[in-house]
Amino acid sequence: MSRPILEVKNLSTSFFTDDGEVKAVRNVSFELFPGETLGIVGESGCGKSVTAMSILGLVQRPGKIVSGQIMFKDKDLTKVSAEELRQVRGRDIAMIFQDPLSSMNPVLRIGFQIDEAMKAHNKIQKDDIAPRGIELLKQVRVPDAERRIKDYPHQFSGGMRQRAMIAMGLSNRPEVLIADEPTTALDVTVQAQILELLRDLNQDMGMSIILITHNLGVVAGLCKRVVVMYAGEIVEEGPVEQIFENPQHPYTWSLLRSLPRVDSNRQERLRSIEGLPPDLIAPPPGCEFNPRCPFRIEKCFSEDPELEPIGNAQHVACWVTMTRAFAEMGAATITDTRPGAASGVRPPKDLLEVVADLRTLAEPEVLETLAQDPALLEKLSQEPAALERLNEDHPAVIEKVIENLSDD
Amino acid sequence: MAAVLTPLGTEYEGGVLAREQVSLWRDGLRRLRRNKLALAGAFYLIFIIVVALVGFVWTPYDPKSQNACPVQPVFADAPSAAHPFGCDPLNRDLLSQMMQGAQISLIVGVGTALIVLLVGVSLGMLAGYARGWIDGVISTVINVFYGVPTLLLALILYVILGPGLVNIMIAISATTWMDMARLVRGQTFSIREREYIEAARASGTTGPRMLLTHIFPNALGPIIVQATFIIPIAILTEAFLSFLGLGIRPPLFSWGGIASGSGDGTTPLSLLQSAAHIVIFPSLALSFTLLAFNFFGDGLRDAFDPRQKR
Repeated sequence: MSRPILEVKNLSTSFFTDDGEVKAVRNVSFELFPGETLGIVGESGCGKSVTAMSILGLVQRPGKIVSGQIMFKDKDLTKVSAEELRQVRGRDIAMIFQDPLSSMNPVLRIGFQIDEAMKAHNKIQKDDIAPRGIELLKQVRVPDAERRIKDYPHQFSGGMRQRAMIAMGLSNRPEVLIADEPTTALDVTVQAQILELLRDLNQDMGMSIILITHNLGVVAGLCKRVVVMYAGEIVEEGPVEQIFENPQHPYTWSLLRSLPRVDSNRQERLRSIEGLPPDLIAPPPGCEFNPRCPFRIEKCFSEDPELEPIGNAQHVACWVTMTRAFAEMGAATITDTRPGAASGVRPPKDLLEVVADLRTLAEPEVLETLAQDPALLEKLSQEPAALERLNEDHPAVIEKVIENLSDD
Repeated sequence: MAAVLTPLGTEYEGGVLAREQVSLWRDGLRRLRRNKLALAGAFYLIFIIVVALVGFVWTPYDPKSQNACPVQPVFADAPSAAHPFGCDPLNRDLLSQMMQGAQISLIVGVGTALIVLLVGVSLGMLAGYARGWIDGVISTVINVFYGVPTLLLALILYVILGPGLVNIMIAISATTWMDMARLVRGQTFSIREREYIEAARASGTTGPRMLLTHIFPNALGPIIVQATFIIPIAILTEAFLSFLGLGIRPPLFSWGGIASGSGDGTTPLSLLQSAAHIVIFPSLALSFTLLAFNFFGDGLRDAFDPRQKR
């Protein structure tokens, strides 16, 4: 394969807030080859957009690229001057945004905004700008382009607006197009049209595309390779078919399982991943996914796994990996995706967390553990609030506590 | 590549894909027309403008001529058919003076508004866009100016700069630019965080271009409204300064100056007792003009405030 056109190496981007350093992107590395379509997936707040913003140097105070390199054609975009970076933006690397309505200036005509992107770079002769605007609108299949180029954004429908956004992105014939959730604000039929458009643009113009989305279906439809991000890190990477058929990270596996399927049993509830992504100011020790992982082992609480190759261009950062989970933990049959369901390994918890768990889980063995741990009970007896909460839900435990205390 | 990238289908051509476009301005104008008070204000302002323009080429008498009215031994002439607004103690025609006064008022009002626009908008946009220490410096300057008593500052500046039409506009601007700067700063602050600015930045738009073509048009509505409120403030301040004898000086006539007796030595109180029309007519002209500007400004604000949309 040829050399990558864009190479992100150990990129870390943080936001320095009053509450502390939010490590939004940590040690992220990936490559984009000419003509390739790369998908970046993950939940909201996993650092996908911040990665994209970092590439274009659009991260604003209090955000900052802490370390790493972004190599674009032998140039490190983290090192170049602001002016050089501006030259790259919109000319060599263009970006389209999630919500085409709020991403277009409401008081400027569509045509003017498309022209603006070209004027910013003098890449195109002045006289050619106006006709090129119409040509671009036609290229993204906006009907009646000659007339509609004089419209304002609010006169366009959602799908048309996104097309116009793409036209703006394409205006300087960029080599890389970063599409940040390009279909999220659109309805399903229009989504399909936009994806088809992106696919055609990729094939006909040889433009590399980075598609950022939380929608795995969109990735499957457009991308050749996919990067899965969680809590600011890459947890899995590889060719799309392979990742879909044989996900190795429990997070990827859970994401895929939570996709609604046409052929699934209608009575079955949609599966979700329990919990929320971690607090990026103070991420949990070990693997960041451990609080939500059904297959965690002891090691996951202490050591953070690195991204390791597992053959066939697939990389994964996991101590367990799904191959082992299937073989040893019965992943194929489990329906319970709650934290630690298959492994039975539970994280060390502090008292209030235990009480919160008791309220929601109420698992008998947890109650048992609690009742048999004098140290925990000792602590519990000193927490009136916790005792009160426990008393409401589990009077039996309280009885045991009292019993235990009177023993001493 | 044309094969793949053909338009969606010919059935769209010629079809109506969008309603007739109603731009923000046309929409606002329509709502302005429905506001009776604003409309009355606008008509009065047009009338004053016409009077002021006519005053450049024709006045019933020479405003400076002391032979315009029949010579009176003691009192100024009361209004009569030949002199609708009467005469002043120096036997000059009051209507002619007031026509020139309208010119002065409008020039001072609009001129001040323009200076305020220039200073307030540029400083406000700079502070709101650059943020950081630049914003800190500009905001501090704004607050310092707010702290100084308005009339005192105008008076001091007037004394320093000396009399003259331009100087009085500068003096008044110095006391009124802060509201505009603050408004524009706030607008720029909020607009620069919008996604379309992010999008423009992503397509490589340069800083100055961003301010002028992307941020400024979005803040234009509030800026225009604010400017229409600055005009009456400037007119009033000028009239007041002239009334004190510190503003426009003879041979130019300002409404405030006329009402004070044009510096002929009479006190306003004795003037009111002996020749009330000299005080009353310029005051009425001033009041109506201020009222008209305020009604019109209010109407403009309502018309361009999307929340008022009906």
